[in-house]
Amino acid sequence: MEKILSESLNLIDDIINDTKVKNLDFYRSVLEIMSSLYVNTSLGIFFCENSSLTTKAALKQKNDVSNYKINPEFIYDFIESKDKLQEIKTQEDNFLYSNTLIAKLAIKKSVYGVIILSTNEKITQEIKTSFLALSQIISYKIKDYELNEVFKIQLKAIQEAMAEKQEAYEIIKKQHKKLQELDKTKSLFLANISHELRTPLNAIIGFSQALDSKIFGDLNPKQAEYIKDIQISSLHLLGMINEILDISKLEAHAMKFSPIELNPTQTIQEVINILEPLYKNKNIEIIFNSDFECKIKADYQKFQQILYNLLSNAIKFTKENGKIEIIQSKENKNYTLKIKDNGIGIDKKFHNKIFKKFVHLDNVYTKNQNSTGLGLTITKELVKLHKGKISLSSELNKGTTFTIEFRNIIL
Amino acid sequence: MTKKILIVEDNELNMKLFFDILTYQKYDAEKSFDGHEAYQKIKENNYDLIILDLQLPKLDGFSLIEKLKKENIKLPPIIIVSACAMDSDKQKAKQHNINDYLTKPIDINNFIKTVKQKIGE
Repeated sequence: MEKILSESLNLIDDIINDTKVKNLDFYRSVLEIMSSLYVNTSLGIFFCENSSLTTKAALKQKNDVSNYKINPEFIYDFIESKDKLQEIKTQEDNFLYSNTLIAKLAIKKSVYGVIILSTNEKITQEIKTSFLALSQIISYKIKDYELNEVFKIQLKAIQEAMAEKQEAYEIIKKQHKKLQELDKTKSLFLANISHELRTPLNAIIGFSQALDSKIFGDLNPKQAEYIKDIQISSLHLLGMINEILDISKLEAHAMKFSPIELNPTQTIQEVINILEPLYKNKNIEIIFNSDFECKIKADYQKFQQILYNLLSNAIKFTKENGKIEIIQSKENKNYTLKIKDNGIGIDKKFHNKIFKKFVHLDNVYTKNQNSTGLGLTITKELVKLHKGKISLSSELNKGTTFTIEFRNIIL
Repeated sequence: MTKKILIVEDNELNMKLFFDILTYQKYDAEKSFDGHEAYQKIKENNYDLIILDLQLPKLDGFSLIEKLKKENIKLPPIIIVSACAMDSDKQKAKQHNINDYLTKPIDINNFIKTVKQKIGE
């Protein structure tokens, strides 16, 4: 008897470890083996699923597997309830043999089945001990098998989720590409618009210049004044077209960047000279450290444009008799430029928005100012081309300071 | 002797502007509204200067230059006057050895100055 039990233990081990035993008929296959093993004894072994308490029994004589109802009361740990084993023998006719052992299939406190041994032979202490060991091993093996199944299901779920994620990623990638193409189309469209606008503007500016230069004869004072007005408006329109073209170039990454060695003090002076009519007209004082000596590597035209944009903004938003300071400083190879005015200032709530496209500050004063709302966006991008940083500090009615920091730009 | 200039420009008002300015400057200006017509005229005449737009009907400005070069027709000095402000066209002009590239709208004083320089006055 002992020998049979120990052999059956080995066999169960083999079956469970055999990777071929994968299906849900696992219980059945174990039972079949067990029943044939005990064919020469009077032993019968039953498995019982916890949920239904219906046993799947292997009967040695019939050599088949059938379902048996078992009274739940009989399911308990046989070692602890030796007396009740006798009760099964006397009260239940369902069991084929006179002596019955029932062991829980459980891990810790979670019971998920029972294993029942039924025999006409006398159940010895050795059989009990072996049977308990058998039940525990089967418990763990079944649990292991179930965990494997759960793991497989979860693995499959994870794989499916990953496939879905990949699919979503592909969709996003496609949409991103589409958006990029749309963006390109938009930039091309803007470049075309700019071209189309320049053609009639050439005639407007050209003819008014021709009249203004009086090459075809004199004008009376009112005519001369109107011709000047046409020219100013046309140049204003041209400025806006140029800004639109700039932004489309920047967005299409088609803006050429050709840094050369330049003297920032000299470049600033040039921009101040260009803007002289504007700030003289408002009697604005410009303070500038013109003896600052420094050589930097920058794109001349773009550096000039940065200064032009910031300085013309400062003039625009500074009242008559105001003051604008241009402060240059250097530290190691880093160059910093500050443009400080005592103008109308910018409300704190706009500080984050100001570099965004098409932002016009909601302000009575600025409403009268014609602009595209692109100037500061372009300025920021031009600073970025130089790997620089632009920031502002401002207080309403006190003034605004724009700071540009260029790292590693000094030669 | 009066210098001969061919203006190749498809927009009528811009043509009128260039023509009037150049005529006023005592040049003998001729008009051509498309690339193909310009090709014929350049082939048959000796111009001292060509004012060339790029976007033209029938044959665009750069194709016109390439066609003339291919047929070994002597190219007069060229000033490109284009509404295209993209760097790629300026680059292309340079490849054809044309350094005078004016972007529309032009400043007429600058235009006259460039013409005079190019024509050697």
